[in-house]
Amino acid sequence: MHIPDGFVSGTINSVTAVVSVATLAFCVGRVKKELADKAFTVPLLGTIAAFVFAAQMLNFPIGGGTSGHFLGAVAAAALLGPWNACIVLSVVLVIQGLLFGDGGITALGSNIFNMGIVGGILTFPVMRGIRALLPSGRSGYCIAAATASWLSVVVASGFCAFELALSGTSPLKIALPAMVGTHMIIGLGEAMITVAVLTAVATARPDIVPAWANLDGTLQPAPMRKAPWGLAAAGLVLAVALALFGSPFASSSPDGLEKVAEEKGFMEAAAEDKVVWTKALFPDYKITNIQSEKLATGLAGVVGTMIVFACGFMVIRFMARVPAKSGKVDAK
Amino acid sequence: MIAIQDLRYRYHDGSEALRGLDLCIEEGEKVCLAGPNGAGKSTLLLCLAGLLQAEGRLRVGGHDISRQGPGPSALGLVFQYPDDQLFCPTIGEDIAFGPRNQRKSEQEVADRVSSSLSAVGLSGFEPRCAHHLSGGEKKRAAIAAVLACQPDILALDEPWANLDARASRAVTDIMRNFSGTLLVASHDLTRAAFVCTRLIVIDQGALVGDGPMKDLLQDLGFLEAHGLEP
Amino acid sequence: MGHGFIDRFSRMDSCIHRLDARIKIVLTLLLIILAVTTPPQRLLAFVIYAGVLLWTTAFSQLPLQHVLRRAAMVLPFSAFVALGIPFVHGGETVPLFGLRLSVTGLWILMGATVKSMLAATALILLMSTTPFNRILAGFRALGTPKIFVDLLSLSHRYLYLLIEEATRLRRAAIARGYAPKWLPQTLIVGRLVGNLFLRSYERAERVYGAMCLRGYAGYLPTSGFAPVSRRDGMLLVVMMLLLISVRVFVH
Repeated sequence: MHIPDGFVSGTINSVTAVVSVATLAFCVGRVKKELADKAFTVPLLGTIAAFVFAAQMLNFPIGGGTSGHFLGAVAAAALLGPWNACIVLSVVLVIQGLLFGDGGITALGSNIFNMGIVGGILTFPVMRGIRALLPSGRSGYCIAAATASWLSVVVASGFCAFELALSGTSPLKIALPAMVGTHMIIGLGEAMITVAVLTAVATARPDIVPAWANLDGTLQPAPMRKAPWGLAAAGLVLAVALALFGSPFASSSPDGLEKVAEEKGFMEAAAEDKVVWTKALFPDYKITNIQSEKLATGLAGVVGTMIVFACGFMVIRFMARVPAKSGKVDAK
Repeated sequence: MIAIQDLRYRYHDGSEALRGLDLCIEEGEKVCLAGPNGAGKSTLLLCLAGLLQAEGRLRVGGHDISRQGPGPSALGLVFQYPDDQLFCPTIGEDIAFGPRNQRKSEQEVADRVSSSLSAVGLSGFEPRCAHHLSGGEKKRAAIAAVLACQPDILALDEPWANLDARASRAVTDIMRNFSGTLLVASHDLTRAAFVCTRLIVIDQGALVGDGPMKDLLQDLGFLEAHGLEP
Repeated sequence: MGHGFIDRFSRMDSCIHRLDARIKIVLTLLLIILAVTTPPQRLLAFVIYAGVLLWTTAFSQLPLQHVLRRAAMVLPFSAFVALGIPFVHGGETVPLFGLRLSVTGLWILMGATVKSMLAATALILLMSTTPFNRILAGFRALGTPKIFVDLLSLSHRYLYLLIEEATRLRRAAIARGYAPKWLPQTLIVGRLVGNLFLRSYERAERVYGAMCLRGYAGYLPTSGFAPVSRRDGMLLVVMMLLLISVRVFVH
């Protein structure tokens, strides 16, 4: 799922980079604020990033001789909280990109967006929502995390396919089923590993599991106003996920975006020139009618992504505030 | 220098690691803290460094440690695994970490880095990165990082573990050259006898023996009973 | 994938190794951004970018084989995503080996592959001529938040240790007959990963203890930079102008 340089267009890269940088700035700001009384966070996140990196190198079989690997976003979020998980994944991606050629530098924005933000942050309300609906104890925590892990891998691969398609690299009708289909199976492995990690931690070090995991039933009975919001968040993300991935499986004909792209020659746009700002800087470069329409198509997709993100963001903000009110630590 | 009264510590699961220790160590003493695996040696050192919060009275270098959180103190602790103490990209930065946090001038920091590296026989290792060093070099670098903070008391947890004979000798020499109070937790009494004059034996979290190294080493029955050998 | 594999070359000595890390970072990023945004039809521009990289490799005294072999590591992803492209894009087609391939698709495939190779090569040159701590100091000097740089530094420090631990765990499992073929066996990988997490967490606790004992107050000290010398400054300006003019004027 690590996109190299040259596969995603300048526009998509710029948009995802802006979203990723803004989110990361927020996450890092949170750590900085806590630094005075929780200086442990820096060595912790640094070491856990190294852990995620090492764990991603342990392949697991998905049948037929092929293998997938662990992503770790939801496992990190379940133990350290969504914001810290996003930082951890970003650190991993930067090091992978710099030192191991795994994922491009200009594609870092997209990669951090897909794995850190979608995988680590957007799936968190789903996990909290499902957790709140289940009885206390370890299995409720694990079921919630397993669902969120599967979703994180599938949704992230879906975003990856969308980015490739909007860049004109690979048509949506090929990229989406290929990426999402494979990752629906890889997601099962992800869910199993996440459950194994959480079980190991809950057995050996229950003190580092966050309070919302409700291992010993201290949060029982759950405050009633919490559950509906968790449900709403879970519903929203699930609906978006189904809308994104359900349609291409339901119908074999190209979907709306694909059709528009084909009619307007969107695919050739990518081949011709990819960057908006170069056009602004070099006005001798002709901006034809077709190109601005292509641009509009691309922007429509981007705006859609942004709206989804904004919704998710607001939901999380709301959810994050609830436990703070009741005096519980949101994420250790 | 170190005064311990009725020191107790419990793990997460409630089992007792230290059950009411009383100890007094004077300035300049060279002490070996011995005992079988799981006796509580490391736990005691971590309590003395202020990294674990134990019950009871605990004074180190005139300061009451029992209520103070982890922070710099008169006691410099060398961990068993040097990788945990070398967390900076290069050895030079690692050794400079302590003095820089003591807000020393850059000149003073540079002096301390070169003098502590030469004290452990690693002069010129500043630009190397910890990952490339051998086990013995890492151990000496970790000791240098602690020495750079100029502690009054040097405490070492299993200093000879996983080292070959030559590296062990080098570590022994560093300890012999240290002029302050020395506290060595180890079950390797043969090596400890070269460095320490006093032997304290703990077993299952309680003090079972305390006396001059030479005398206690003669008592084979006592050593055998606590999983040690001379 | 040992530590030495990447680090072996970064402590060699050459005029490229001695160059200020900030300049190397800026030029590498500039070249990658320009290459990635160049339309695939401008073959000459790509040839010039490749020429600049080859020229740098020669000056840095790195073995060409090492650079190319590392750069080729990005190819599997290209194969996965891109090989289908010439078959599925519409428009004009050309016959090749008895297949009808889309011209647009071929351009996209060629462009993406060349760009990812160029970017990978540029990065390998940067990382093989600069020790990682200088890269981090460069990031810091170029405005990356201190905490993020500290996290990169710590994570890089413990990366190889944890990879070794993961390898040991995996080897121990294989020695006891672990030969995974099907998805349900992933549970065993899960146990390894769970074990690795606990070890990592406990290592973080010990590292934090070691930091506190030496007066840690939330920040790792980083070494600074001497001001950019006039010669290095000139080199930076000339290279930036060269790269940008290639991007703008070479068609």
